[in-house]
Amino acid sequence: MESDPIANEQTAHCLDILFGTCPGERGVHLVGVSMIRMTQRYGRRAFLVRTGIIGAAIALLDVEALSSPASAAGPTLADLAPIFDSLAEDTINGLVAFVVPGPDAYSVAQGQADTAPGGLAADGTDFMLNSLDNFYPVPQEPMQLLVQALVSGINANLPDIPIPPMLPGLAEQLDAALALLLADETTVPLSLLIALLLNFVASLVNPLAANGAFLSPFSRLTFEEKTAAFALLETDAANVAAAIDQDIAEPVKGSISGLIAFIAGALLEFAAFGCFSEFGEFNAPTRTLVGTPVGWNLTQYLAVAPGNAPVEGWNEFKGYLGGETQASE
Amino acid sequence: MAVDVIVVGAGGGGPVVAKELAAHGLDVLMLEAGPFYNDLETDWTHLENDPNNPLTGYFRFGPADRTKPAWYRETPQNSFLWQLSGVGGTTLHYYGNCPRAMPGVFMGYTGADADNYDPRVFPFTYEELIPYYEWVEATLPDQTAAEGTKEEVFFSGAATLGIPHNTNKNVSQPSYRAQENAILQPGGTAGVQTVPQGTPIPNGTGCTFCGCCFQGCKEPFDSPFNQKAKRTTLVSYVPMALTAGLPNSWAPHGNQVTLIPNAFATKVWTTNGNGIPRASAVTWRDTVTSASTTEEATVVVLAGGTTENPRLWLNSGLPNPNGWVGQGYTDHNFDWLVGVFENDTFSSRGVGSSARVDWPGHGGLEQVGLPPAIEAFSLMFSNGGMQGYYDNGADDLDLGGQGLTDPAWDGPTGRPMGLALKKILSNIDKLVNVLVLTDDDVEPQNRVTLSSLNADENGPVAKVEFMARQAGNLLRGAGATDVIRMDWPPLILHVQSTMRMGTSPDDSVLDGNAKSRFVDVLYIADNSALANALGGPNPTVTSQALGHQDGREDPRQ
Repeated sequence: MESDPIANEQTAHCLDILFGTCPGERGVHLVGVSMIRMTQRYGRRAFLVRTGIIGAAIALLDVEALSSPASAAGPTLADLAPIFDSLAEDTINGLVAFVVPGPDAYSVAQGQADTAPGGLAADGTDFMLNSLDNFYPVPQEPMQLLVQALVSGINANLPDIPIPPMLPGLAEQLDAALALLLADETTVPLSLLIALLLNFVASLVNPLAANGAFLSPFSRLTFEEKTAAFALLETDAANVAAAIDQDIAEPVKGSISGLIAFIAGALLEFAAFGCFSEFGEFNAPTRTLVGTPVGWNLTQYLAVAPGNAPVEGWNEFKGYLGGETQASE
Repeated sequence: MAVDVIVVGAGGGGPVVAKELAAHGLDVLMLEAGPFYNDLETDWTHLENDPNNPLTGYFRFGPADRTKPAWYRETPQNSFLWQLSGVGGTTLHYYGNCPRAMPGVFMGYTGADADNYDPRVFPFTYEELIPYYEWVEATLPDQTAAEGTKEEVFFSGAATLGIPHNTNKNVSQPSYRAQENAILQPGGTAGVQTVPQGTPIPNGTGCTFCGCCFQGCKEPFDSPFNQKAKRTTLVSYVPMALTAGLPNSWAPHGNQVTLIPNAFATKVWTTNGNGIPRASAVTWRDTVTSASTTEEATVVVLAGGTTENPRLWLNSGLPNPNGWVGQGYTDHNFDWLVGVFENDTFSSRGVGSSARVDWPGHGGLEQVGLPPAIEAFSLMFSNGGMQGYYDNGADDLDLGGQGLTDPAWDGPTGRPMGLALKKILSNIDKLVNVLVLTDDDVEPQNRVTLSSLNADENGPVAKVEFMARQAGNLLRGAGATDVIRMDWPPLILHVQSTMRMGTSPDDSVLDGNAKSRFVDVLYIADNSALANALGGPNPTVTSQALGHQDGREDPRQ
């Protein structure tokens, strides 16, 4: 991604506002900026751009068909739902390539790639989506607080971000579809929450990531920018929460920021675990392997075992320390 | 009809008490929230995601039906709570390490380093507990661990620290030694041949050095259930409990324990007692059918774990007059260092941990071998940010991160990212991992509540730094070309003391017999009963010794 001096200045300004890096000026910035903000409608549209939702919709919707007289009512929920799935998958692709780079397009785009296979070849994205959406026990709080912030969040204090031209009413329909998707606490697609969070933070790190290749702003970041995104999540989660929704206050802000910090660590740990596990070569019905897992090849695990398979024992017994086979009382 | 005793939880502690009481001839009912694995060769694999995915693996904290979500635990910070349900509890995935506690954490200790230990001591002396240590050490049994290549490397580094080899079960000075493990050591052909998957070992007994302690031990393949190498309670105390009273069994005059798996206890009932409530019954939910059952009992023993016991207590509305139910949630303050070597260490082979360093008053170090996925997890688990990018605030301990540098390790603490991670992991069998276990004090603000769990974020940093430096020096002494220190966040693994026994009724829930001070005929029999963090050693064997102590007499008397 090419560097844009204006965007860089915007980013610096944004981070300045968020994290108060100019001593004594933070309050002045916040007051001054909020006085010149645009309407809430713009703010919510800007949020949908930052999270990648509008960009993904424009990329995936058949605009010509939707513009026809037969589609006067605009896209239906059935039209919009796949957008969110695709955005989540694309975002997790960018995460998996970040944790374990390979020769794939996401690794190449981030500027850190490898000739050896990476997390995407190990089916790391499927691992993450499967675990997050089907098995994570979503609690009442604080996850619902984060959901609420993402559904209604507006922050007039953030720098402007270009709103691309789109079908009339599309932003409102996308917003309604998002709210509906996240309304049922028992079926919250956690991967979508994660994607919205990562993409929003990506837009703070580099506003230019709102547009470009892929669907996900996070996936458009360079490797260094991805580390910066995680730095925000880990070191200033409270301000990330405040950036999502300017009206958020304690104790809700504390609950959400604790969750954000937990999510940041867990995403990295969980992705690494999945990419180096047998997941991509596992036949669930038989609980056997159909090939050698990518992670095993990368680590030379069981490389000399019969059939590259786990063994029931190794020729590895060397004796006892000092010949002592029984500690004394 | 009421049973004599209901034991809630068949993990590391409950089966010990159940077995002892069954030997007395009592009618014992033991409940376990998770499944009962009784065909290990089929139930368990030597893979990693299949067993240890915390959301979907068979070693998760959740129902037996793996198509259903796990049970949620809220940890409001970067941390990881490693909990599992199933008969055997955390002994199913533990490494069988059974070091005795440091003598300095017991009443009456007068050593020169007494001030280095938690002042909230056990309400009896170390010497008084030794007979019960010997009992559990003989029953499991515990044995001095053999070494493989990675242990040879570890010990070569330990020898450069200027400390002696300890050949005693008790620790009196900084020293290194082979672990005392609840693992049958290799016999016959075990450990001296490579054995293909699904193949019995002819003329082999005990540990086969397969490298899969963490996935559940089923070795030697096709061996009798109660002769598996790793002595989980599933293959040691539980079979004894279930065979007590049978003709020609180990306790022909005892009484068979009734075990109900998939039974999640939801309430302890009480009646009006003599001045305090008296435990009278337990209700549990069948996690398969959702049916609810209540059974009366003369005595109730809670052994559901350090997180679950206080939750059950508080959900049951049992009294908590001094506020210490759920308080003192104490873990060892862990850290993790990885050494990269030019020569083979065979870190993925052999026992999970067979070598340790003890440093009384500070804690200890353990060598740990891992397969690749959990090794990768360990290298992403950090409070120190990302190496070369950010350190979570080098000067801001409130963020948990420290970005620490020291000659004992290379670069700042933190996660190696991207290609750096791949490079470290490019040969799993050229690594040596060292787990730092640091003693931590019981603190009332660390607690289990009904809504959240707050682990200690600001432990005794000085102790961690001292032991982490020893770990780095050990790896350098052993010849590591690179040493990575992770600066781990809280790994909630060795948790204890939420229902602690103590010398004073002001800051404890239990007396010295593990009996509740606030509810009559209610006992605790797991790590939650421990008075403190033991000075650093792994807690299970001490809880099991207390279980023998609890079960030595008929509690109806």
